[in-house]
Amino acid sequence: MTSFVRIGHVSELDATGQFSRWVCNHDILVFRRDGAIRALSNICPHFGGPVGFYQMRNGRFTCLWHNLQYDADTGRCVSFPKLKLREYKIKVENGDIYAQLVENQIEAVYKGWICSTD
Amino acid sequence: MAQLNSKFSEQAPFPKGLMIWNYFDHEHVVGTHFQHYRHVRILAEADNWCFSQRSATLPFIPVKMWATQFGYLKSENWMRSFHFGPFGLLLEQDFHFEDVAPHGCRVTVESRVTVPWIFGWLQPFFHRLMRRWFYSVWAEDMEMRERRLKVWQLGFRDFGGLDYVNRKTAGPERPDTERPYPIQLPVPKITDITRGGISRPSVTGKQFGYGLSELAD
Repeated sequence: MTSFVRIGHVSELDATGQFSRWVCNHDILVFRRDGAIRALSNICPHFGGPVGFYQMRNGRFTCLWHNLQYDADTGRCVSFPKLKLREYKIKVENGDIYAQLVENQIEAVYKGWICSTD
Repeated sequence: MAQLNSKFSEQAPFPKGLMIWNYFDHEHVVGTHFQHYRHVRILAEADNWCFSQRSATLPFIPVKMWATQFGYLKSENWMRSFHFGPFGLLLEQDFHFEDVAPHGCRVTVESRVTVPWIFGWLQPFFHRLMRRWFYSVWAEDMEMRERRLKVWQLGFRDFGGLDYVNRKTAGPERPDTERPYPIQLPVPKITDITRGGISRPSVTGKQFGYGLSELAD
């Protein structure tokens, strides 16, 4: 079992440089930053709003619901630094983008985590 | 004097606690409803009431208007709201929340404003204006409520997020659809809304919406 799960294709970044998608109860914001593909949680830790509702501007994402802004490099909330978005590990194979949802494999197996691309 | 009035009712598949959270979350009006509201400031509030100042653009009237609003939760089934607008106009609204089995809620909004009798002919216009406003704001709120319920059922904690996401561990196999949604007021504030007030930032740009759905394997 691998905890890397396919979340999209690099071609989906061509038009705007970002997209977000729900995969296995994770809402993941995928974007290009300085030539690299990265992924942050798309769930604002404040009340759960969509961080990637708007296109990234000046290296920041702005959540729709309450306008909280997050630094794309660190995932940290600019106005309220105690709030931080998780960054997902990414790998790209044959144009497909995979994110590692679960990094604690033992706990994943123990809890019967079944969402994988095996 | 004449009274202009309107009444609209809609049902939503969300618990009452979530609906009331939505109505008392004043910070979202310049976020989720940025197309209607320009500025909002809470002047005073307590557990079951809030007195705020708002700037909004109403349908059919291309002018930004300021109003103060006092809203309170008379009971868990009834919210009253008073908007003090220009020219001494007072818009009174009653929001009735009715539980709909198994987890839904029906919201009925009654609105009325008293005007000099000579303006009684404005009733059709008032009805159209309130209808446009109600359904426009309702549609924006529905996406917000739907997402809020989704993350709530996945175990979301306000200001904390989802534990399994943060700890990078396995999450629930399925949402907990029975997780209670209590009515807890006031909604915690994080912005300057209780001081100078808040407006929509100018950095927002192209919109992508709420994102893409699950991949189909």
